[in-house]
Amino acid sequence: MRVSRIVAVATVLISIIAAGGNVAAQQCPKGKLRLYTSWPMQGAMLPEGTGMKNGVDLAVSEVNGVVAGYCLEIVNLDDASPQTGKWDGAVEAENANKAVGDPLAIVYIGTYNSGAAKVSIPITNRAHMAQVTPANTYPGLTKKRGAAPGEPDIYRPGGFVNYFRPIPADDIQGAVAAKWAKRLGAKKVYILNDQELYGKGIADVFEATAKKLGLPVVANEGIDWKQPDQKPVLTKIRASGADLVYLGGVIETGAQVVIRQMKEVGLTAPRTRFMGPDGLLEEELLKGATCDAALATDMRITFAGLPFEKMRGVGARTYETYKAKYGKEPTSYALYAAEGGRVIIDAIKRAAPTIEKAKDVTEKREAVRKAIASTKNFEGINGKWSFDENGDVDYDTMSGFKAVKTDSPLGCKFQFETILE
Amino acid sequence: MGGHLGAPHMTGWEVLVQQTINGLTRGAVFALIALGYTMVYGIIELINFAHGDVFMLGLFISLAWFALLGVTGVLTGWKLVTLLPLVFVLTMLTTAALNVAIDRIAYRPLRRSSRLAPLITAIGVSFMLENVALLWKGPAPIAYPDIFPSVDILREWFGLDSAIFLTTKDILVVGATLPLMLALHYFVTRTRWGKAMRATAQDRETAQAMGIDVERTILITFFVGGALAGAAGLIQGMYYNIGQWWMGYQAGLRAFTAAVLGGIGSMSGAALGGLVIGFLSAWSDQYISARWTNAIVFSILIVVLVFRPRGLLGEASADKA
Amino acid sequence: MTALARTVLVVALLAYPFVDRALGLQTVHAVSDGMIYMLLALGLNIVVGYAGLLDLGYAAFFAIGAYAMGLLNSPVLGSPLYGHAWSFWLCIWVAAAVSALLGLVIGAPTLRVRGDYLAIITLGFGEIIPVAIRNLGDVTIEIGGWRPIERLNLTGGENGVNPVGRPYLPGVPFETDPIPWYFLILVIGAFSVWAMSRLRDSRLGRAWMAIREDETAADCTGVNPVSTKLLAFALGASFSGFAGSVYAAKLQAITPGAFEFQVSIMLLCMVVLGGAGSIRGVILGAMLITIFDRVVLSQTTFLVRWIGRATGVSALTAIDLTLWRWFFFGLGLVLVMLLRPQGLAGRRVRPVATEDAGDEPAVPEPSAPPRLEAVPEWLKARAAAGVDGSDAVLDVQGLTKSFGGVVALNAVDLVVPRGAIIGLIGPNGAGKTTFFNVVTGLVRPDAGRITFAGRSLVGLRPNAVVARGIARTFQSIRLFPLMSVLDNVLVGEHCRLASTVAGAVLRPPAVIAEERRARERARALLAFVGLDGKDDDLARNLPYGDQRRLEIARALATEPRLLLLDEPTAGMNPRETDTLTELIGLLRRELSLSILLIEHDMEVVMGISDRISVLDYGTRIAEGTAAEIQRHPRVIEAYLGTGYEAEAAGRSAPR
Repeated sequence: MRVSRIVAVATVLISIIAAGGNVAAQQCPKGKLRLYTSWPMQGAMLPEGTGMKNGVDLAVSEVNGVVAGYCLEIVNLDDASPQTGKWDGAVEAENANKAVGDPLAIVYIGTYNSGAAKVSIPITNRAHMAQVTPANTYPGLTKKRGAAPGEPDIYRPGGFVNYFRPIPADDIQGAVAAKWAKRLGAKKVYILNDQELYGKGIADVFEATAKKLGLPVVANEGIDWKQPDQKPVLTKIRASGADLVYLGGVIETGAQVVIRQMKEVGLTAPRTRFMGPDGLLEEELLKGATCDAALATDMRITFAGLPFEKMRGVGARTYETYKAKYGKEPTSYALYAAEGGRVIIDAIKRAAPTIEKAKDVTEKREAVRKAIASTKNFEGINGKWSFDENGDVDYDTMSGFKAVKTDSPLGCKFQFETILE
Repeated sequence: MGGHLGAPHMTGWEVLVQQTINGLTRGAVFALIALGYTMVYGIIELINFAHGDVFMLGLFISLAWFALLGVTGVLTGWKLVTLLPLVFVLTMLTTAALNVAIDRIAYRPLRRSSRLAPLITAIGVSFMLENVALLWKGPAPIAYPDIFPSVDILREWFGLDSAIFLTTKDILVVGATLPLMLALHYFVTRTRWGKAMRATAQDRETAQAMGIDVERTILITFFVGGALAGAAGLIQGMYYNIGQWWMGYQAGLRAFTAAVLGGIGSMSGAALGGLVIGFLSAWSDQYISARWTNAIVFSILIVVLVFRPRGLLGEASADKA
Repeated sequence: MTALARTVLVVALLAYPFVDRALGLQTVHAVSDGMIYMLLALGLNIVVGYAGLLDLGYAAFFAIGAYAMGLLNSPVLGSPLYGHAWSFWLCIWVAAAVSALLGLVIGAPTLRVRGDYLAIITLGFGEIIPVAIRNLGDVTIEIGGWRPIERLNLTGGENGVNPVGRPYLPGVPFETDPIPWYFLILVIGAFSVWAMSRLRDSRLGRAWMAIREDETAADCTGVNPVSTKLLAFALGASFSGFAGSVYAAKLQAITPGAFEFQVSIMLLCMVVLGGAGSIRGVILGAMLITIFDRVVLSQTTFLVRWIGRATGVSALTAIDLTLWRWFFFGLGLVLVMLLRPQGLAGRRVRPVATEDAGDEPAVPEPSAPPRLEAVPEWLKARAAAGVDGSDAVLDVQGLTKSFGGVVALNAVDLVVPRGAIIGLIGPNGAGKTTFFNVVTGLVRPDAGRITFAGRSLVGLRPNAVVARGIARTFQSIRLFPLMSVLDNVLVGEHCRLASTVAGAVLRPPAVIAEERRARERARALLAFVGLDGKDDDLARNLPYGDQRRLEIARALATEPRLLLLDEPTAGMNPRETDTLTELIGLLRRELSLSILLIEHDMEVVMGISDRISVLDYGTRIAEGTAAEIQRHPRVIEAYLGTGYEAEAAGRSAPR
């Protein structure tokens, strides 16, 4: 009993210290507004998580942390689980509840993993709190196409939309990829997916669109990405005579192995080519898969939005500012995080009069939510856009990239090839 | 886009041959790892849960040795013939020492305990090793450089335009595994220490009464098992060019299934089991679906443990308790 | 725990969420989630701690509980149970039942498998279940060119199940407030702890502990290992059914990724660290691990970084100790196993007693002799009654058994008449213990008949043989070392008691009466063999002679008609031997027990046996009275030696 008593006292003390730890006080005329962020901030996700955090910081620092007389404060939460080091539904729920229970919190910025968003959106929705994501691309969170039954209404228990994403969803990217494949002359496609939410989702959309376009699909097969050897399934693809392999996945789920081994079993251009979604658009992938294999398979990747070098105006400026401020290239979603932050700031500006008059925190949040929903003709990094009635952006600009040879030490890189519609 | 898309598909026979190559190369690595499991189990009846992670560290350690020797790309000529075997030896020695250290620290104090205590400890060691690898090389997959020149044998040496792909890397896997297994066989049947190992595995008390230093023999078992795991890690790295801190767990479970299937405690069983699991998993990937392969492999494990615990080549054990 | 401490604890538990709300600490959600894992660890404790079965795949039960609630209580698959006020309250029991069923399914193949293999099998299941959940979200069956099933969604796959219906109580805000969840979990937790402690102190609990200590001995004492293990799996799993249901309803969206191997090991860490078998220990272990995980690691990281900044050591400033999590858990497992395997709160295990009596700190009290007047009446009646007609209690004919090429028993005949003491002697390796093992069902005979009280014993499991009325002791004493003296005897009564699982938990008057009667009888037996007053001593701490007597008391508790004693006087000094011989005589005289006795001490066996059979290399070479055996030439040649007669004559002179 003695041990447990000590432990109990220690727990209380530590909790108090931890609770009081993070908050830095600032003097603000109209008061404070808090933005909560929630995505994995450990392990493999640390670089991307930090990048997105930087993006939000960037947006807030552009206004020096003050909007319409309110001080903006960011609270960064980690939704990765103690047990697995990956995102965890229970932790995400805790984060969302923490935000909702904080009387100063006005907007929830999250998540990275679409599965986590499924947990937090109903919670923020009930509190009339807007949730803006820099990275979720699973379509079912906002629209019916590509969704599971019941979606997206189950994310709107309050009967209104509170979830917004400044990034086009996967149903667009998957469809656009299938069209591109047809345009490139593919006659028979073999689809692989990593069985995760993103990878399988986008592979399924690709399959559906390909069928609609009359492009024959041999199969849409899940792989076990934990294995270092995919040759058996690639041999099967070889035997099927498919001339395009589409892999729905991210760089962590075995893409390197697939591409490298495609070369090893003779699945190279012109016999067979490779296409993948933007989860694969990283230089790390080229390093792992080797330039030889990437070039041999005519590797092509789709990307939601414009590549950095094609961005004009706001996009280009944001890219340069990020590089200057943080000393490195932005990660895939860092600029979208900045975009999200800017949307929020713009909305708060517009909602400021209503916020002042609001009687309680729920009314404040509702005011901001409405303002975000009515974002129109926003000057974004990919051009001008507005939110539609689902909280989606109304542009569907996608880019297609191809792996090309270069003189860099690596030997190859992704180069923009075409805009996709 | 042009290009001839009318290239021949694979005939059924070609598919079979290619799958055989696939299964063989997988099976060889499993066999090497399975041998380590079976040797340790045979002598102290411990399922060395950490063995798969020693294999994983073998891959990491071999990378470190290559880096230390300044090797970053393909080796050719005299460099290939001298440096590659050197790194083999260095890696094997390192993992052998690691395995022995694990036994001394974590398993030896529990020699007289129940069978479950060292198993729990082994799980603890496994997690510690995985975490060390995670901290050492990070969470992302590690690209293992192409060290062994990969030459398409049929195309470039024989000028055949076949749908089958047989590369020098495939030959390497078999070419490295076979001598190791033969060396092990010689060691176990001809040398004094090997015979001591077999005697201790059969009957520890009598072996001790005959003057065999049992603890020394156990040490040697761990040494040899660890060396084999290290070799397997090096081969895996050179063949698949990828490694990750959790790969030991996945490979370890499949290799353990191989050891059990072949007959735990039997070395020829481990080799056989490795090949069988290699083929079975390749066929499952091809004809059923890769997403079910793990479930199938583990089902085999369960079925063997329940209905025929001595596996294919093992001996029926006397008393279960 | 004192009454004051208990009241403080209850008050603290009840007041905590309101205090948290007042202080704005917002820890209730995290604490509730932690409590779910604590509940899972308690369920695992039944399997690992009580029954001693190392389960490495417990997360599978968690998954089944969560998915059972998820699928039944969600519109995703069109479940008719969704949407009613009672949905959650009904589905939680269904989920517990489904989990229990899965426990039986997973337990069934492991029944006869030894401990470490059992662990690996559970690990295998733990891997298969998440794979199956993922894959069954998209099932396509193709036979030839025909696709009877296409893209069937059974589990939601990686998408998971979403939304899951929440509990409904009028006026209670489960939708928006964490406090009702806290109390819901608290109530379930309290109920679980209550049920578990009831189970532990019951007939079933003792059976579990006996199996954990020595499964073979338990089997030979009348405990059915099959049903006992199955119950451990099923009951252990059912608690995870509750925990999983609450988890699913609380989270509203479940995905297969939350039920992987690391979760199973985390739970195992909680049980092992806290002390397997101790409810308090597991709760403590769960608390420590959760706090370590969520608080200590991150706070220590701040500390180390601060030190790094202060001292200018750059390596320290970049450290992130949360990445070391599994290193510390693994290290914890290793250290606990090496230094304190009983965990933090487990019972302190004294180092193994060496054979050297000089190491014993205290001089053991000389044990009382057996008390004639303390003859247990009920045993007398039982032994006398129910033997149908024939004089032969045990009739073995032509018993044959080979192991590999070695013939252990070669067409052995042996008869034990009612109320007789029969001796079985022979050189080492003659097959005497094998004979016992075959008769008691540990080993199946290759040929021959074994008839006991008119019915055949061939093919029966050991615990069934005990139920028929045969009890045995072992050559090397096989008690349940970490159980008390009284509990050892109570395990003997297991096969004569009738309390079920429900009875163990609910304790109706019939069960209370049965337990009381059982304890009275156990104490009477202990007094009879001369071990009264030692009820609560650990069996392993008894001196050797007392251990032997305890083993006999335990055998008597099974209410046998025939007692098989395997070298009962081995290792005893002359005084102890005399005491034991007297006891054996008592057993036959007062309790009308028939006794079959393996012995090497010729004085004992010749002195006490009515008839003696001699085995040599598996064959019965002689049978007769003591006098006949002593003169038998083959026996002399094989075993006794020619000098025996003279020696025996010399020794039987009074001292």
